[in-house]
Amino acid sequence: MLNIYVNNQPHCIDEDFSLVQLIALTGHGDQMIAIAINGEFVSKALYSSTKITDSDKIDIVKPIGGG
Amino acid sequence: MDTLNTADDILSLYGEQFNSRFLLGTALYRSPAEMCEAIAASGSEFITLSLRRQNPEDNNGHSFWQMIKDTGCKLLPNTAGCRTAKEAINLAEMSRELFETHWIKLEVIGDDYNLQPDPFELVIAAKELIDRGFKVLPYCTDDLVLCLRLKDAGCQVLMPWGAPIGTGQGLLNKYHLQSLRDRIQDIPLIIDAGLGSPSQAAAALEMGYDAVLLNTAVAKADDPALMAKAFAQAIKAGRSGYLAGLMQRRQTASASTPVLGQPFWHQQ
Repeated sequence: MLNIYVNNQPHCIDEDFSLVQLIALTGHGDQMIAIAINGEFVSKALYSSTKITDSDKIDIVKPIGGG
Repeated sequence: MDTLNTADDILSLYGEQFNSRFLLGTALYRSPAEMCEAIAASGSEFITLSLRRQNPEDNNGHSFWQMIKDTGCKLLPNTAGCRTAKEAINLAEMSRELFETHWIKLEVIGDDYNLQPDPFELVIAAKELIDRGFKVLPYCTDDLVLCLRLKDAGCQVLMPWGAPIGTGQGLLNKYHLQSLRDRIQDIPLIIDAGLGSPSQAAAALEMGYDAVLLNTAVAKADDPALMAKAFAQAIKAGRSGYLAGLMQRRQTASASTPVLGQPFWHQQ
C-alpha cells in the first residue's frame, strides 16, 4: 500500500496506481482540474503514464475567483 | 460623455489591444450573479481568476468557470498565495494548461502582514516564465530598481501596487509612483491593488498610468455593479485628463480673470 496526500488529506492506495486512477478515485474524473505532484506541474498528457509513489503529495486544483 | 475619450486611445499589452483600461478581479463577490453584473458594468475586457484546492463534491469550480466563459472576457490567471519562484512557476504552468492562456499575473508574496511581493523571487520567476513563453504581468512594489530588473527580465508590462492588497488606501506613495512613470515610459504600467475609490483610480490615470487592476473595492461595495461603473467612468476621466495635459502646479495664486481693466482701481 502507498500512503499519499491529496490536497493535504491522507490517502492509502494500492501500489501500481496511475494518476488517472487516482483522479477517478478522488471524484475528479469529469472535472476541470490541473495537477501537481510534489510541487511539480504534471501535464494532462502525462496523466495515464504517471505512477503514484509512496509519500507523494498531490495537488488537484480547480478554477476559483481571484484578484 | 464617452465621446470625450479618443476612439483610437487603445491599451496595448504584449502587442494585444484593449479598449478598456480597467482590469477587474472575480473574487469576494456576495454571489456569482453580482460578479457577472459588475463585470458587465465595468466594461472590462480582462479579468483575473485563480486556482485552488476544492472538494470534488463541491462543483462550484465548474459553474464558476461557465460564468467566467460567458462573460467573453480575456482571462488573466494569477499566482496568488505563492511564496517562492518555484511555486509560482508551477501554478502558472497549471493555469496555462487549464485556462489555455499564456497570460499570467505573477504574484510571489514575501510578507504575510501586508502581502508585499518578494522582489527577489519575483524576478527569478518572471525570467523563467518569460523564457517558457508566458506573457507575464508582475504584481510588484513601486521600487524603481525592482521594476527595472523586471523589465530587464523581459516583462513588457509592470503592475506596481498603489497600496497593500485589500486596504483601499489608494496611491500611498505618489512620489515613487510618479518617479516610476517618469523613468519607465516605454512599457505600460498598471496600478494593481490598494485602490478603494474611483477618485483614486482617476488619480492613477492622471499620473500617466495606463490602467488599473482592482477587485475588493468593487466586490465589497454595497452595489458592486454601480461601483464598477463608477470606476469605469473615473478611469476614462483620468485618462482624458492625462491626455489633455494637466496644468503646472503653482505655490502662489494667479488670477484667472484678467487684471487689466479692473474697475474701482486708481493709480495712487
